[in-house]
Amino acid sequence: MSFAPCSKCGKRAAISLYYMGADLCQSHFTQFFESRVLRTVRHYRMLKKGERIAVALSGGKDSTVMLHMLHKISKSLPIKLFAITIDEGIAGYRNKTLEVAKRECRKLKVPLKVASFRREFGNTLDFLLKKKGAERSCSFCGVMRRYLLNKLARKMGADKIAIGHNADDVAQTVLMNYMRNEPERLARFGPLSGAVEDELFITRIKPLFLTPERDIAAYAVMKGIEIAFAECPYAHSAFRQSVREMLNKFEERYPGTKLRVVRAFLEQQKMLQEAFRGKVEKQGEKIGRCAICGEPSSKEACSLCVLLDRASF
Amino acid sequence: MPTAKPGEQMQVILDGRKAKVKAASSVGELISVLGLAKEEVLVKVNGKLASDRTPISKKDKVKVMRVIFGG
Repeated sequence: MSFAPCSKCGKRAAISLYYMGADLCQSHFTQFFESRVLRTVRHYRMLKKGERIAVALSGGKDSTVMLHMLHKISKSLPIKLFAITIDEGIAGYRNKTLEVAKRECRKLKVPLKVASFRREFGNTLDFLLKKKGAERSCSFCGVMRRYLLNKLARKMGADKIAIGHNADDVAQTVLMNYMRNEPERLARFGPLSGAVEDELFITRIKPLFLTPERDIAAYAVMKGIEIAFAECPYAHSAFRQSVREMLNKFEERYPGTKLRVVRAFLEQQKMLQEAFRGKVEKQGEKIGRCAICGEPSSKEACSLCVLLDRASF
Repeated sequence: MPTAKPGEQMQVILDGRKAKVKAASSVGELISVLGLAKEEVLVKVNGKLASDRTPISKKDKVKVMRVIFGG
């Protein structure tokens, strides 16, 4: 077989990166990939010496590759890593990725805590969605996962929670928030999350914020990180799925679209944060506590308690 | 780059399953033949990841992996 050459060294190209109009060999791609993650971590000052980092590890490709990258970083920057995996209770899906999470943590000697919706909330996601309908599955699951991750990470003494959001997720979130006219949500969103500061909120960092999803899969394959490329059975019913498909069509036709959406958002992020933080300060409001569970909430009952019908008001 | 003959077929592995498809002369052409989005797949040729412009023939072992999923 003859081969297509790497745009940098002329060796055998392993991947075409449409958004930069280049073909790269395995060596140049992994170098490029790792340095982009490092630049993101440094630019947004995501990690500090001595910090305890809770890695939100689903066992999917994004969080698993993120775990490997943070582990690599921890060799030169003294940080302590531990992982938290949440078993939502999605039959036929989560059990596969849970195995990956356990195996990769063993391999890297990173302590792992597995928590489940069933233990914490009394029911699996499958059960809840049967009752509530699967239309807003991602929103439900997201509220429950964020709550549990924050609570557990805090109990385990984490300074930060690392989330495996990639550039595709970010571009989707940005467009979804525009489509729903929810700019205040975007003000709280970013490589380092949290326009609201509160001692009960653990800062969330996103080292893969500028890394496209396909690159993450390619890196996993090149590095021999065995990942089950599985699809969440609820993904098709979600609004996010429509936005994902639309963005992928645009990306195919106009390469670089997703990263341009992410960069456009980063340009506007400070303005958004200022606008919404200013509003809260002017009103003299502070984040309160949920009257039911005691977790931080801007309303009398937090989103989770409303979702689980714990709130009677 | 040699082009595939009209009507010619080739065997590929798509998401772990064998499939017979219209023969393609490059990875990029194969992705189009399969009706997949380039943005959502990675392709291995003879065990190694390959870029779009990589030439392929019936003799090559071609594996197409859909890698972008929700969840």
